[in-house]
Amino acid sequence: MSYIEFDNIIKKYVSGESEILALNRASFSVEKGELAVILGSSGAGKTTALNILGGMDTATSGRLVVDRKDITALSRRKLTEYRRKDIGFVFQFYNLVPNLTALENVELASQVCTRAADPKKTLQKVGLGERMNNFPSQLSGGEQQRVSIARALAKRPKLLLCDEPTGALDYVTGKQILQLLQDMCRYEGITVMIITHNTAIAPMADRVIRFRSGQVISEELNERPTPVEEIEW
Amino acid sequence: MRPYGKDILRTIRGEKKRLLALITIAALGVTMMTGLKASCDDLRASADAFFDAQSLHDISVVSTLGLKDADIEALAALDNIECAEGEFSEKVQLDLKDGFTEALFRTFTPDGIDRPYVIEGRLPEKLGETAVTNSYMTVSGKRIGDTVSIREKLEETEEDGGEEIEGFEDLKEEEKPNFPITEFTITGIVTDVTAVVNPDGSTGFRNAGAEDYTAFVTWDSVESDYYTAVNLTVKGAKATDCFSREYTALIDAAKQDIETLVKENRQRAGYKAIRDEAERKINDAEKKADEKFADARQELDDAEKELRDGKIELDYGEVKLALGIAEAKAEIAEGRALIEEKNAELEDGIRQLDEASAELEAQEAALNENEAALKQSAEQLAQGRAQLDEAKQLLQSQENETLNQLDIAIAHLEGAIAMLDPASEGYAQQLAELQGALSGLQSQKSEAQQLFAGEWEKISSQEQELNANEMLINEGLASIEEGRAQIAEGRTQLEEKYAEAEAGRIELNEAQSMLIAGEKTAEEKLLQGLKELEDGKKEYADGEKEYADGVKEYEEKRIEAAEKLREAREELSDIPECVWYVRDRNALNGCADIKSDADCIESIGTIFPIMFLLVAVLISLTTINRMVDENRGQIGTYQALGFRDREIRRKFAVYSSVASLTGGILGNVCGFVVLPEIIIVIFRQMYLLPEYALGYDLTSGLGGILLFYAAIVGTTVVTVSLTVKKMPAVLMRPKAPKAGSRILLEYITPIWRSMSFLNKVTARNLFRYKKRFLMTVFGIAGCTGLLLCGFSIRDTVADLLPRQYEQIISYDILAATAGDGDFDALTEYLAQRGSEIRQSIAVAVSDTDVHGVNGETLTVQLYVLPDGADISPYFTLRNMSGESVTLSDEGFVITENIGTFLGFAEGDQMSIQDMELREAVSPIVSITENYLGNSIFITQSEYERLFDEFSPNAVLLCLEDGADDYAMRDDLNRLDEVQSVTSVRELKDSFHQSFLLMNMVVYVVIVLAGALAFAVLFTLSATNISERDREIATVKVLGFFDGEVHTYINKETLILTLLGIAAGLPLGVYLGRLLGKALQMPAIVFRTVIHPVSYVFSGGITFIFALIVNIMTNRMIDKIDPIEALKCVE
Repeated sequence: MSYIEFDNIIKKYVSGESEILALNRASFSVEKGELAVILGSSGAGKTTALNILGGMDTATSGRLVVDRKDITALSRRKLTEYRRKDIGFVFQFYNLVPNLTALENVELASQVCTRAADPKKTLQKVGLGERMNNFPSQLSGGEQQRVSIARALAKRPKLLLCDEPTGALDYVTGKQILQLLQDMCRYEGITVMIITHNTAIAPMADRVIRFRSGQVISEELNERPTPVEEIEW
Repeated sequence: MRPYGKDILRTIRGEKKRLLALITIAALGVTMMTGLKASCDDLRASADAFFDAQSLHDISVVSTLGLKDADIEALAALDNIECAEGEFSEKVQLDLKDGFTEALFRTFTPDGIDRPYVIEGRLPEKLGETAVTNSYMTVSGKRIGDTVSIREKLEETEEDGGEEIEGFEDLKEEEKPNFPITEFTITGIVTDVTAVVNPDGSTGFRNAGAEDYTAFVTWDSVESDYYTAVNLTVKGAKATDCFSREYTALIDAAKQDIETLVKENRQRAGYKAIRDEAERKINDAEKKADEKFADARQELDDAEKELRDGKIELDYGEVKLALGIAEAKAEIAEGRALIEEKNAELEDGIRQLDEASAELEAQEAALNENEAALKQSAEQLAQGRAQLDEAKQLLQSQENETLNQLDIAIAHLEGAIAMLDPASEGYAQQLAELQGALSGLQSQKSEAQQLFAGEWEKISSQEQELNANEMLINEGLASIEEGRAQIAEGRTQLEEKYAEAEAGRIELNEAQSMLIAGEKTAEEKLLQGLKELEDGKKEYADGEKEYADGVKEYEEKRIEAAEKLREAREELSDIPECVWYVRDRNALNGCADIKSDADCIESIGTIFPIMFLLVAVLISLTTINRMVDENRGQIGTYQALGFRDREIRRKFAVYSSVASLTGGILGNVCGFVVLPEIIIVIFRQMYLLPEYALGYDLTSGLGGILLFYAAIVGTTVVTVSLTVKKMPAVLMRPKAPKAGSRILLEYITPIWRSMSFLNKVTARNLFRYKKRFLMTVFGIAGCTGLLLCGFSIRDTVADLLPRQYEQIISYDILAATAGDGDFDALTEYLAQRGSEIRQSIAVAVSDTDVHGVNGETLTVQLYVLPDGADISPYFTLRNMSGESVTLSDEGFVITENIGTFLGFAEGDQMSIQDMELREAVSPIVSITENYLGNSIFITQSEYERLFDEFSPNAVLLCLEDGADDYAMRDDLNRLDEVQSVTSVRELKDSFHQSFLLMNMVVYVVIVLAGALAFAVLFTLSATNISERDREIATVKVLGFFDGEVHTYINKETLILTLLGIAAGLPLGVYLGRLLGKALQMPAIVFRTVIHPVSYVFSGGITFIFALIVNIMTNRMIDKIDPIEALKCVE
């Protein structure tokens, strides 16, 4: 049994008389400490899968096991616990709390999580040591994204899920972020999953999962992942 | 602080407008819920506090025969009576600058029951001091320290035609003044706790028979052997609120005890006492009368004796007089005779004297002759002497001369001799010569001397001769002298005798005069004596007559007295029964009014808050909903971060709590302080309570807060719970815009085709957001309804004026007197003003108590109209079906509220009680429409059948068209005989004053409803806009001008508003009727009416608010930045 077992998950949306299958028996698995990249074009079901992985959405049918816990069978409350303690999520559109400063946003993590990392240090780690007391409205997109990452990292989760983390970032910043993520994976032992439609990133992953039309069309292991500094796009 | 907490705090600070809207709604709602009720509670509490502080009586007992100390003891002995105190009061007239006015004069006991409240100065402490109510001070213009004089109305003694017998006055049953002195000094201004309705605040129609002025005096200013009332306080009553059921129960129990245990006995005792007293008085009177008559008889007898004595004296006097006359006459004659005698004697005497006188004369003549001769001789003698003297002289001188010469020569010679010098020669010769000469001279001298001596002898012998002659003459003269002396003597004697005769003559004359005088005196005395006799006779005649009269009078009076005593004994049986009436505070002016006013406001205060609550909850729902919707994404994020449901709820719950608690507390402040203060201003005009304390009712205050807290926070919690049930992913995705769908209107092709594009959009939008549609319409309808309800109350109240004072009452002036003589004076006066009076009618007006089925009492006006009189110029009486009503001899015609409040219907038997506590029962013939005050109409015959003779005491006047109502009213008021004048014109003019409280409450409600309408509109519009910010942004981006964007949104709002108004107007009508029913009070009939213009107002105000809100939201629309709004999450 793998660390993450995504098994035949179906996600159906019903709107009026029409039925939309966001995930149509998608299955994959990820081992502990791996850095997995999920590729696929828009509407392929990547975000849906990540949402289900992160306990933010429920599957219509199928089974998801993370660290020997059947997530799909969890009650609402246990699901919240799962999100609280085990998951760190980085959103494509940052989703920072506008009323809180960068530091406070990261501190949110320590509020929910007992073994959170020091928010200040985490922010410094993402390179925002000088911008800790700014509100999101005062930060650029990249900075906001980094805050979001810091928030997720500060939780010291088992599983770090990132939805297009570099989508809004420039080349240099983006690489920095990716480097950070890779380091987290390698040195902190966090299992990281990154959604992207930038195929050039794929080489850095240990596992590449490709989605198309709600299904996993391929799952490849990469024995020698390329360090981020070497990746160019 | 933890970051989540910071987020909550900053949210609260950030979303100000929304917060403010919620606070406002909560505040308005809580104010509405608590404010009106708080005002009523304050009024009741203040009244209760005042009543307790002044120990207002709980029960008052009056009796038809007055009350005595024994009655007080009997009452005080009851278990549940705490204190019993007697009171004496009487209606008197107090003086004003021009005339008098009626007032109640009553006693008080310091620190006792019904203590007057001192506004200024102090309470009276002794005889001659008084404290009066403020309204009297105002109307009389007096100040503390001035005097007030009272006039008591003493009953005139009846059926007395004849004169009073002197000495019998005190046997009459004349009413003695109860107040022995009539001048009092004002020591203070007070409020009478039994009359707290402000007479200067015109709720006049509510209080039939209120005394406007009261004056308090100490017990020593009153002389009375009975009490007019006994006031009681009940054990345990003070501790309760006098408007509560607990209190009523206590009082009813006490009244019950009095009725069953005390009343009967005391009634009997009272009657017996009076009757015994009366009998005793009659017996005393009889005894006294007998005594007096005996005295009178004695006096008469004495008088008779006197007369007899007098007569005897008179006769005796007459006789004496006659005798006296005779005596006098005799004396006078005697005297006269004597005088005659003496007169004759005198004449004789005088004659003799004359003779003697003549003799003397002759003698004298002879003497004179002699004398003459002698005198001649003497002359000759004298001549001789003279010659002699001459000769002497000559001689002497010669002698002297010669001698001198000789002497000289001698001397010379001597000298020469001397000078001779002896020594000279010739000395001897010379000497010899000289000596020779000398001797010669000396011899010459001797010769001379001898010569002379011889001469001297001659002379001397001549002289002797002369002397001898002289002696003869002298002798002769001497004898003449003698003779003369004798004559003189004789003459003297004669003189004496003459004098004597003269004296005698004088004496006689005197005697004559005396006699004459005496005669005269005697005559006078005679006349006097006669006159005295005459007088004496006359006196006697008078005395006789007097006596006769006296006897006659005595007889008459005896008969009269006997008659009177007989009558008095008969009257004993007319002594009215002693009936006790036990009344509680409802009979007081003030207590009942406060109760009904408070109840009335409370009913307003119950209906409105419910509506408010509904609307408020609705709006809170909307607001919170919107807020949660806007924060969807964040909620999702929090969920994603792993925040639990309750943690996420907490943020919004805190926000709502802050809003609702702040609003609630604000509402408490407004409701318990601001609103009551506003309404208390009105209370101050209506009542004389000294202070109005603001109270706080924990139940309603906290309850209000809790209610709104629950409503707002509850909504929040529910809405958030619904949201967090969803998965975070769902929340983080933007809400799918509502699916468009076809509306019904589209199928009506001709209309649809003719609509412009934008109008089609509007139409679709209207029906697309169904929730918003319903909420807006309902919210607006509620507010419009409330506004209209407020206006309807105002209109109903305003309509009372024309209905009552134009349709029902058509007279202009009602002038009332105390009756009888005063009434006649009034009619006389009115006869003089006949040119201003079109019509008038004499009626009898009095205050009457009516007892209801369940024991309530109403005091109403009783109008007794003369038989056959046409009352249509004065009253228009219609029954409830609109038919006109005529008075009948068979019963009462009553106004509708009497029926409603006391539970009577046509045909029922009703019992009324007049101010002398006489009761009468009769059926109700009709019930008439009436709006203000309450009246009973009966005919003269009916009145005479029920009570006694009809004696008009008032006049209803219809004035001519040009007459000055106010002037007539003032003139009538100035007449002392007129007790009260009601001018309908004045009532009309001061109408709105009477309803000040009502109108104030209505305006408060209207303002609050308006504020709520505004809040509703604003919230709904703001929500609408923030919900559709994308849509608006898109439209802006497409190139719509600002104005076009405004219209895009506002059109919908206005249409919804119009629909809301249309729904709200009928709602308002319904609420108005509901409220009208709740506002029933005995003195007013609320027949709900809404003027058409009120519809316009309510709708108009709401619409205007909608327009104002549009202006505000237009600004919000303009602020929407298309870029931000259109930023897509996906």
